[in-house]
Amino acid sequence: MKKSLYLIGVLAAMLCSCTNLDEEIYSSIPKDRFFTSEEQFVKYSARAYSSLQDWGTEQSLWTLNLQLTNEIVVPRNPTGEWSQSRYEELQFHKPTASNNLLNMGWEFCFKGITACNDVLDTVESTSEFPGRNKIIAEMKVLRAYFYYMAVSDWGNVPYSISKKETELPQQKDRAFMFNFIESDIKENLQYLSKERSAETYGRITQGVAYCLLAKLYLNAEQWIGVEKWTEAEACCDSVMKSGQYQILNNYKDNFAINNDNTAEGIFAIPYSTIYTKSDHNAFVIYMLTLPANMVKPVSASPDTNPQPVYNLSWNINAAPWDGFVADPDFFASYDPADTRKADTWIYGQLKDLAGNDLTIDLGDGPVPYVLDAAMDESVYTNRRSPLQGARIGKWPYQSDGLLTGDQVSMDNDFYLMRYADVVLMRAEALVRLNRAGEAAAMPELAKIRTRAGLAPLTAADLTLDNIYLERMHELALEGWQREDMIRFGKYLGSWWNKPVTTENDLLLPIPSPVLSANPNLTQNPR
Amino acid sequence: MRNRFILATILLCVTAFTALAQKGVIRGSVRGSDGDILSGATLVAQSGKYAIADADGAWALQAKEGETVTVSFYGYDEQVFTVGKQAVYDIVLQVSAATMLDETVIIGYGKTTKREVTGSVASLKADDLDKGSFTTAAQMLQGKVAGLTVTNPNGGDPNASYEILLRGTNTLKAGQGPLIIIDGVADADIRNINFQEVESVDVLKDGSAAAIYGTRGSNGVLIITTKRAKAGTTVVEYDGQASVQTVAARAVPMTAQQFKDAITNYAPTQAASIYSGDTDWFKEITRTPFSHKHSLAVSGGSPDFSHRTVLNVEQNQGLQKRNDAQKYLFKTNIHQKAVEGWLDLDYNLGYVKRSYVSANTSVFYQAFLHNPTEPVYDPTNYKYGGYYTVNGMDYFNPVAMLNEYTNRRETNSISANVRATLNVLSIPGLKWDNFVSYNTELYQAQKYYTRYYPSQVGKDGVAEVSNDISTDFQWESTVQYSKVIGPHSIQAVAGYTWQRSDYFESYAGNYGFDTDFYGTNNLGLGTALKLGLADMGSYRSASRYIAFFGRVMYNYNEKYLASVSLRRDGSTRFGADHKWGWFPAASFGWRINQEEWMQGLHWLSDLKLRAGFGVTGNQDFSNYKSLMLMSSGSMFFYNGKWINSYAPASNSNPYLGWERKNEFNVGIDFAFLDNRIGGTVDYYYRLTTDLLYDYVVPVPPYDYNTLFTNLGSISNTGIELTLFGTPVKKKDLEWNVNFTAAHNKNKLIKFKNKEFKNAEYKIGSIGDPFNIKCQRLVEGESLGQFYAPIFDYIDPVTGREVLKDEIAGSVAEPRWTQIGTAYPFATLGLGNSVRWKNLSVSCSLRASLGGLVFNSYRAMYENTEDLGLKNILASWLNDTSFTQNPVYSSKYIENASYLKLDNLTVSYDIKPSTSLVKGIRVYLSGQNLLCLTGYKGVDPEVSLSGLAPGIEGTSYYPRTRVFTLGANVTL
Repeated sequence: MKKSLYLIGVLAAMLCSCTNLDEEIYSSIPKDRFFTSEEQFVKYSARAYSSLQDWGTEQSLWTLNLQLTNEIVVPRNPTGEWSQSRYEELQFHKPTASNNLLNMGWEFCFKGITACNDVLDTVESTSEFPGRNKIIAEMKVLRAYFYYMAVSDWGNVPYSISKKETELPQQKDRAFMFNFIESDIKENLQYLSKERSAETYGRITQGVAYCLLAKLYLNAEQWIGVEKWTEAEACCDSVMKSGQYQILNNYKDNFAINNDNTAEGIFAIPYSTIYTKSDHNAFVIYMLTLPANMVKPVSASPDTNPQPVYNLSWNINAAPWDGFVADPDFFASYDPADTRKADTWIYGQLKDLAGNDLTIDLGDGPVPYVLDAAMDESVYTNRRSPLQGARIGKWPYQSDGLLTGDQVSMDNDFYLMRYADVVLMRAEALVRLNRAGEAAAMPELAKIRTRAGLAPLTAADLTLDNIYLERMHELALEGWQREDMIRFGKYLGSWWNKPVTTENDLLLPIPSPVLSANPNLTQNPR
Repeated sequence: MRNRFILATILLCVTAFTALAQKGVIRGSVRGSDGDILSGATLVAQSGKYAIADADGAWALQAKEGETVTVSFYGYDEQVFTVGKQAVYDIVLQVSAATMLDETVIIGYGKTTKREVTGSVASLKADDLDKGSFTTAAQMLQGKVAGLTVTNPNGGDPNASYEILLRGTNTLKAGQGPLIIIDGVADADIRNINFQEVESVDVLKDGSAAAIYGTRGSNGVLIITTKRAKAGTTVVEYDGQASVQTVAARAVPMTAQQFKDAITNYAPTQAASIYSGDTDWFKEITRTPFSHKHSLAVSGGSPDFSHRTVLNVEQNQGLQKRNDAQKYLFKTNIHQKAVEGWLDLDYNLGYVKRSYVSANTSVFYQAFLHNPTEPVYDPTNYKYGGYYTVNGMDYFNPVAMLNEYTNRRETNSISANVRATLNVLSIPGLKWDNFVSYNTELYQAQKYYTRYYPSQVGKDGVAEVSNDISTDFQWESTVQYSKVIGPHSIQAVAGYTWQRSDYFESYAGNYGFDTDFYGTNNLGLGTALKLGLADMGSYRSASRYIAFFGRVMYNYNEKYLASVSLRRDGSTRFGADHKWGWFPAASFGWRINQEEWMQGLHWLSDLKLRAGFGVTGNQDFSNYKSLMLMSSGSMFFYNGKWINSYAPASNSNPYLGWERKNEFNVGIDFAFLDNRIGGTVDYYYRLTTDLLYDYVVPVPPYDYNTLFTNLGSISNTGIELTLFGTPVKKKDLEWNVNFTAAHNKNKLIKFKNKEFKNAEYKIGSIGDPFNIKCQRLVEGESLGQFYAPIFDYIDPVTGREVLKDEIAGSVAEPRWTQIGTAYPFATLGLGNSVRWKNLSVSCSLRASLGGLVFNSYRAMYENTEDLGLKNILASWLNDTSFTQNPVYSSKYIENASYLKLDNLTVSYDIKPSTSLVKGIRVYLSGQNLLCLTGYKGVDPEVSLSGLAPGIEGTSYYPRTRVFTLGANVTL
C-alpha cells in the first residue's frame, strides 16, 4: 500500500513536471531574493564604489589622461613594442573615436554612473531605514564625481539618472551638467559624514563633496564661461576648517605601500594585492612603466647569469611592459632642489635590492645602468635605448615578490583627492581673486613647499605660472594635470613631441561604440 | 522510478528464454540463387523458434505442420514457406533485386526509403565514407554531402574538433553546429564513438525534414547509426592500423643565416640581436608522429537475443612534442525479443575514456618568431632552468614553454540507454516506443607550469585543477502506427520528449611550491594559498527541454507522397512568457516516373519532384539569459574589511524568445539505366527571423553595453547538386563515382529597429600591429564581409606600402572598401572508387571556390618591423624593397580557393584458404595529400563558423599528411 502510494506520488509529480520549464538556479542569486536585509542594501553601494577600481588598470581614464598631458610619453621601447597608434595619437592630441583608451575612459565614468543609478533606484524603492539618506547622498555625490570626470573630458555627455528611464538618454551640454553636479552635491552635503575615519575611508564624505565642488567652481570659467573663484575658495575653506585633514610631514607617505587613511587623504581608491585581483580592478602601474632588460647580477650571487632588472631591483616576478616614461620636458621642469622629482620618477643609476650599482651589456660590454630622462623625438619611429626614459616611481613598489602580472595589484591605495590639492586650489583661487597675500600666509602651503626642500612662496612669487608649476610637481601623475593645463592655458600649446593644437581639441571625441549605441548623441566637433 | 523500469525489463527478458522441445524437427539447407552457401542465414518459425544455417548451409528447426517459416539473409530476398508433411527443405534464396531506391533513410522518429522520402535528406552508408585513420567520425564526412562543410581549423592536433556547417551561417550568436543524434541519443558527442563503427549517417538538411527536431533542428540534424547487434554465428572482427604524419604546410621563418644577413643588410641597428646559435625552432618542438589504433568487435546471437561488443584502443601522437591523445572505448549493444514478439528491447552501455595532453598552440607561434641565432639551452642559466633566455614582451623560449608545461586532460564518459518497443501485435502496425538514456561525463583538467615556464618564472610552480561533471537525462516516448490500405499507405508518429542537462564544475589553483615534483598532486602546499592569492571556485547550471510532436506520412501508390509534422517545443532558457514555440512542417513528393504516361521510358529508374517547408528554432546559447540575477563582482574595502560587491550578472531580457528559421526547399531526385546514374538537385531559401545577438545598448540606462535579444533576420539561398554513377559494373571490375556541389548565398537582411538603430557592427579583431577590425556586419550584405583600404604598390623610394586614394599616408576607416566575403562561392566534392578483382582504390577530392582569407602571418611578419628581437617570414626576402612598417590593406586579404586531395586508399581483400578466417583486408591510405591553392599563407581552409570567418590566426597548428597501413580481419 505504502509502495503504491509512493508510486502514485512519483507519477503525479512526473506528470506535473512534464511541462514545467522554470529555471533551476544555483550559482547566482535572483535579484528578488538578494535584498533581504538592511545590511545588504548598505553593502550594495559597494558595487558603485568598486567601479572606481578601474582607474589603476592598463587602459583607463587615468592612463588616458596621462597620455594627453605633458606627464607621460610612450615611444617605441627597445624591443620595438608600444608601436600601436592608440598611444601616439593620444599624445599628438589626434585620437580617433575608435581609440580603445577613449572607450575605457568613457566606461569608467558611465559604468560608475549606471552603478550609482542602480543603487539609488534600489535603495529609494525601500522603506525608511537608519542610514538610508546617507547612502542616497553618497551615491548622488559619487555619481556627481563620475559625471564631473566625464564632463571634464568630453563636455557634452548623455544624461541619465535612473535605470527606470526607458528612453535613450539625451545629450546635455556643460552648462546643464554644471548645474546638475552643483545642485546634487549641495543638496546632499548635509547627509554625508563629516569625519575622516576608518569607516568612511574610500567613501564619499563632506570633505570629498567640498573638494569636488571646489574643482567644479575652479573650472567654471573654462566650462561655462562664468568665474566662480569665490565659491571655489569657500569650498576649499570648508575643507580646511573641518579639522579632518593635515599636510603630512613626509610627501612620500601619501603614496606608500601601506597608505591607508592618511591625514592628508580625502578620497581614496583602496587597492590590495590580495583582494583587487583582475584585469579590471588592479592597480598595475608597475607593469606599464618598469624596464625589462637583462642585467648581470652583482657577483655575490651564485647565479651570475643575466637576470631581469625588475627582478634584481624590485623583486617583481612578472615581466613588465617597459612602456610609460616621463615626458622629457616635464622631467626637466623641476627645480634642482625639489625632492619631489626623485619621489616621483626613477632615473639615474639603477641598483639591486642590496643597493649595489647595476650594469648592463648593450653589445659592447657592461656599462653602468643609468636611466636618462632625455630623449630625442625620433624615438617614436625608431626605438628608445634601454638607457633612455625616466620611469614612474611615485608609488613605491613592494619587494615581497607578490607582484606577478597584469592582474595582480600593488598594495598602495590611490588618492584621487588629497589635502595638498585643496590647499593649492585655495591658493589659486585667492591669487585669481588678487588675494595672493592670504595665500602666502597659509601655513599648509608653506609646508607643501618646505617638505619638498623648497622655500615657501611669497606673495610676490604667487603668480599663476608658479601655481601651475607647483600643482604640476606636487600632484604629478595623480590625474588632474589635464584640467590644470587647460585652466592655465597650456593644453593647446606645444611640448616635447606634441604639436600646437586648436580649440576643438579641448574636448575628446565620444568613443564610436557609444555613438553607435545611442543615436541621440552628436560627436564633438573635431 | 527509472531503475524500477529497467529492472522490470530485465526480468521480462529472463522469462523469455524457453527450452526447445525436440519434437517436430524439420531440417535442410540454404543456398543462394547464385550458388553460394548461405552460412548464417536465419530461419524463424511463426512460434518464434529459430535456426541459423551452419558453415555448410545446413539447419534444423522445431516447427509444426502448417506453421510458416521466414528465411532471410542479407543481400537476398526474404522467403516464407509453410511447413508441410515432409521433414527436409532445401531452400534457394533469390539474390536481392533491391536497388538504391530501397535503401533505408532514417528521418528521425522513424525511417523510410530513398524512394519515398520527401524532405532533403542525404543518406550515407559506411561504404560511402572515407577510409583511413581519423581522430573523429566527423572527418569522414568531408566533401560527401552537398551543403555540409566539415572543416578542421586546428590542423594536425590529435584532439582537434571539427566544425560542421550546413547550408551557410543562419544565426549570429546561437550555436551553429547541427544536432547530432547517435543511436537515438540527442546532443551526443561525436568524439565518443569509434569511426570504424559507423554504419550510416543521415543528414536532415532542409526545414521540412529537421522540423521534427524543432528547436534544435535549425542547423540540420546528423543522425549517426553505429553497427548494431546482429543475429547469426559469432563474428569476430579486428581492425588495426598504424599511421605516421608529415607536415603538409607551415609558416616558414628565415634560417639563422638568412636572419644574420637580413640584420646586417637591412636592420644594422639591431646587430645586438645576433647571437651565437643556429636553431631551427620548428624542428625543436616537433616530431614525426606515430599513431596506432585497434578495434575488436564481437557480434552474434539468435534473432531473440543478439549482441555486439566493441573494444577500441587508440594511441595518437601529435606533431608537437608531448601533445598526444589516448582513447579507450568499450561499448555493448544487446537486442532482445520477448513476450512472443510483443516486446523488443535494445540495451546500450558504453564507456569512453579519453586522456590527452593538449597542444600549446602558442608554442608554434613562438617558434616561428623566435630568433634563430639564439641557442636553445644555456646550461649555466640556473634561474631559467638552463634555457637560453632573452626578455621581450610576449617573447618566450618555445622549447621551455613546451617542456615546462603540462596540460593533461581526461574525460570519462558513461552512457547507458534502453529502448523498449511494445509491438501491439493485435493491431498490426502499432508500436509504443520508450527510450530512456543517461549520459554522464567527468572532465578533468590538470595544468602545471614548472618554476622554469618562461612567463611564470618567479611563481615557483603554478598548479591548476578543474573537475567538471555534465549529466544528461533523456526520456522519449513515441507511438507509431503504419497501415497500408490498397494504394494508400500511412505512417504516423506522436511523441513526447523530456531532457535535463546539469553541469557542475569546481576548480582550484595555487602556486609557490617547494619543488616541481608534486605537479598538481599536492595542491594545498603552495604558498599562494597561505597568502590569500590562490583561486578556488565552483559553478553549477541546469536546463530542461520539453517537446510534444507528431507527424503523418502518406503515400498513394508510391506516386504521391506527403508528410506533415508539428512540434511544440519548450526550453527553460527563454523569458517567462516565451518558453514555448510551435514548429510546423510539410513536404510533398511526386514520383513522376510512376505516372502511366511515363511507363514506356525504361531507361528512367526514378524521377521525383519534392517540395517542403518547415520551421525550426535555435536555443543553443547559455542558460539564465532572461533572468535578473545578481553575481558578485569586485571586492570593496568597507569599514576596515574587504567585502564582496554585488551587481546584476548581465542585462536581463525577460522577453527573450525563439530565433526561428523558415525554410523552403524544392528538389528533384532522378536515376537512369537501372539506377546506374542518378542524382539530386535541391534549391533552398532559408530565412532566420528574430535573430539573437548581443545588440549594443547605451550605459546608462543599461548595466552593460550589450543586450541579448531577438531582432534581425538573415537569409541563405543555395543550390545543391549530387550526382552518382557506376560507369562500369562487371564481376571483376566496378567503378563508382560520386560528385557533390553546393553554392550558398548569405545575406544579413535586417539588423536594426526603432530601439536598436545601429546598422553596422565592426568585428574580426586583428591584433598588433594593426589593432583594427577587418569585417563589418552590414544590413543588406553577406556576413564575413572584409573591409580594407586598397593596396596599390610598394613605393621603391620610401619602401612604404602605398594605398589607393590615401590622404597623408592613410585611408580613414569610413573610406575603406568592401573587399568581399570569406564564404566560398561554391564547394565541390568528388569521390571515385574502383574495384578490380580483390583490389580496390578510392580517392576523394574536395574544392572550395571563391571566398577570402586574412593572412595574419604575412600581415604581421612579411616585413621588417619586428626584425631584430623577432624573426620574420623568409618570403619577405622575395621583395626587400618593402622596408617600412606594414599597413592594414587588401594586400593581406587573399583568395581562399583550393583543391585538396583528401584521401587516397588502396585495399586488397585476401580470401583465406582456412575456414577459420572469413576474410582479410589490408589497406594503405593517405590523407590530406595535396593542396593546390594560390593562397600565400599556411592553409586556406580556415574556420568559417562564427561571425568573423576567414581569418588565419598565428597560433596555428600545422596540418599534416597522414599515411596509414591497416588490416581488417574477420573470423
